Amino acid sequence: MTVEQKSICFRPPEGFETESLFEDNGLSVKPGKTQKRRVRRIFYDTFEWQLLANNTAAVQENRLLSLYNLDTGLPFASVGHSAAARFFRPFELEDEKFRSEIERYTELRALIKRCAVEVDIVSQKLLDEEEKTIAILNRETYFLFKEKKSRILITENLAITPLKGFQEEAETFASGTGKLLGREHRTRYRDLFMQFMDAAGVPVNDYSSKIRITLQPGDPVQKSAASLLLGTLDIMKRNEPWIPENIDTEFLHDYRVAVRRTRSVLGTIRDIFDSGTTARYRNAFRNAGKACNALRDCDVYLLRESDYRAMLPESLAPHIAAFFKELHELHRIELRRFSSFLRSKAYRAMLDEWNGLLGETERNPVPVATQDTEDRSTLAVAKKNIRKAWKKVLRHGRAIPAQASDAELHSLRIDCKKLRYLLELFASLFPDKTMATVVRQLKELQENLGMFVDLAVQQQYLAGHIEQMKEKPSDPELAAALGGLITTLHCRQQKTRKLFHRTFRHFDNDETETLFNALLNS
Amino acid sequence: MKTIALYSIKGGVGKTAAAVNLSYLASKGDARQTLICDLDPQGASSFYFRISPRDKYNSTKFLEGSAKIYKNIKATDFEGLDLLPSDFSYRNLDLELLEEKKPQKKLRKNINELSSEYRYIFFDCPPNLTLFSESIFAAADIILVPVIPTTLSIRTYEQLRKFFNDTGLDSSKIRGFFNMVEKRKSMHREIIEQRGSHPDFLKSSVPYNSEVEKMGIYRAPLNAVHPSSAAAKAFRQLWEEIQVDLLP
Repeated sequence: MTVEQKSICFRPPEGFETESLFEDNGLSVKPGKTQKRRVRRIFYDTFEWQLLANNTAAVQENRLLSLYNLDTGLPFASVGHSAAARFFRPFELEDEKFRSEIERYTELRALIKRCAVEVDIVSQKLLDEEEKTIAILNRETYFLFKEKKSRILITENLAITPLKGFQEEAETFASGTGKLLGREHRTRYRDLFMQFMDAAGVPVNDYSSKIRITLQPGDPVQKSAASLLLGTLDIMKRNEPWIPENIDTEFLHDYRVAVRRTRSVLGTIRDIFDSGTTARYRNAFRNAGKACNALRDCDVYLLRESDYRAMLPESLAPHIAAFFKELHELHRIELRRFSSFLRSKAYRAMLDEWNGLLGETERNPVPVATQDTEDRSTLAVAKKNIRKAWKKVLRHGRAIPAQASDAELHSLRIDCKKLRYLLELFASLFPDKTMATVVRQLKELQENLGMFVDLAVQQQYLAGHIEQMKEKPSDPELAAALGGLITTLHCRQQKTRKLFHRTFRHFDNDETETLFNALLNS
Repeated sequence: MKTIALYSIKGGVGKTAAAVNLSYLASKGDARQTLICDLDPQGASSFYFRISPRDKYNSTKFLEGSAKIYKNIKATDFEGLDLLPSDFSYRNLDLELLEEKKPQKKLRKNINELSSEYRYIFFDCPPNLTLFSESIFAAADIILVPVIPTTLSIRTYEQLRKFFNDTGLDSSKIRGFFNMVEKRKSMHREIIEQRGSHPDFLKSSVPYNSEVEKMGIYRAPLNAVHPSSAAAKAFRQLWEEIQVDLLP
């Protein structure tokens, strides 16, 4: 419903005097008193730049944290926030309205300090004939701010910010300013934001957990596989330094997905390397995955704390605290353990060798000697593997009886995951639209299976905790709370189980078959 | 969101000065977004805030509702306080309301759509008792009636309460307060003594103060330009009482 209110910005040329804006401009706008102030602004965004992707910046100024629209240059939400910390997590913000604004962009990722600027502002009200303020004219000089270091000039900005309801009047004034300065001096807040990051040496939009490698259909598959594996290796390496810092759970999550994708490529595309090399690295990455299983479990259950509390009746909810206290302690131990795994010489050496091998294979793909005469181009191998994985999902899914067992659904989930990884890894070879539809159909099935398996795993984990309690001093209230959770989770699992066949039929139908055929016969 | 109407059948009782100063006080503090709607075609509160409506704005746009209303809201020079200016065409609102299916509920419906934006909405109302007034009565959570301690003023206040009772409206929304009080006048003193203790009257009163008349020169709330004047202090006390007693 909000009427677009927008700051109008100009980059003033060197030696420009603000007063000249009011000389013979033919407008009835007069300047108010001049006020000077200096503020420090700290910019935050997630590791994946999720705010910037939505044209938003989180800015801490004094004790106020605000979300700015980078198109309009205006804040649209603010909250009192004392610490100019290195990072903060959205779910820790107490103000519900502000939290929900940030959670539109990210729920799990922490907002990390990206850069700090100091701004010298010379501010003047712009007054109409009635002496009513119609806009604020700010001459802003931005400096890069580094602790205990001198300020470094970044840029100057002249901002005309209309008061609500006075956009037209401000535009008229800005049009006069534009004539005086020249149109080429008009700029945007988004450009300023980019200038700040550039000055701070912070590369923008430099990370995505998605595979963004464009493959060539005619390239030998060894070369393409090496490129994909270098991509997953890069994601692992990008996340590794952040995991020990325990800033948010997604560093470990993305690391694990990259490990699984690596294993998936090694397991599904044969003859990239000789069998000994393939086995060695499959084993190495299986170990890397295993080394952080317990840590990921802790992350997942700690994220569920408020859900679990909400599931329990008021009489039992407080007693779950002991479970989470133990989990926090376990998380601390597992984090230390996995951090030392990441630092270990053996792991680092393995990654270095892996990097060298992939680089060499990408530069000089030597086909592994086989007796097959089949087409080993990237597109042919991609189609063959995707078809195989798709057919496997259909075969296994159709074989699941009305009363689907946990094991059957668990196994089908793995089949689906393998198919999904193949589709994502080779996406660049296929038309975007068809691929997106196929992935969407598969995603629906994966969500059902994921939820089912997840609910089963949660029950096992909680039951395991009850089992351990037999060896400890008795805490009957905690046991009752865990039992209560298991019962609720079991009910949800049964509902999900009932939905499986309907969801599977939605995937195993003529429409999906047509889509897959269009993809694989193109 | 709470809606507060400054209303009286009688003119010249200080509705606009009260609406301007109380809305200013409401907008102070912890980010309390406040809107003052100038519903009087004379446009006195718009004048006080130096704001004119857009050329295309009129009573028809006002009745069309949220988007049209929102487009015409303007920021005052005071942070957190916006104003919906009046237009001279508001004199036709009664006739236009007659065309509506549920005229009494029209204002409430339109204003409700602004509830996410504002914590307080004040209505500066025209001095009459018409169909538009009934629409204001339905939209307001509280109807504050400034009463000069004189016989005629008390009489019109009673007429209003009677109208509410006769037409089945909720008269508990009505709260009177004494305004432009001159303690040196025995009539003022006597009337306040007689009526001041009634539960439908607020305990705070606002003295007659020439500074209030000068608001036309300052063109700003008295509480912003002369916060230590007797009237400004009284408006502050009145707002505190309203917050404690009527805005839990």
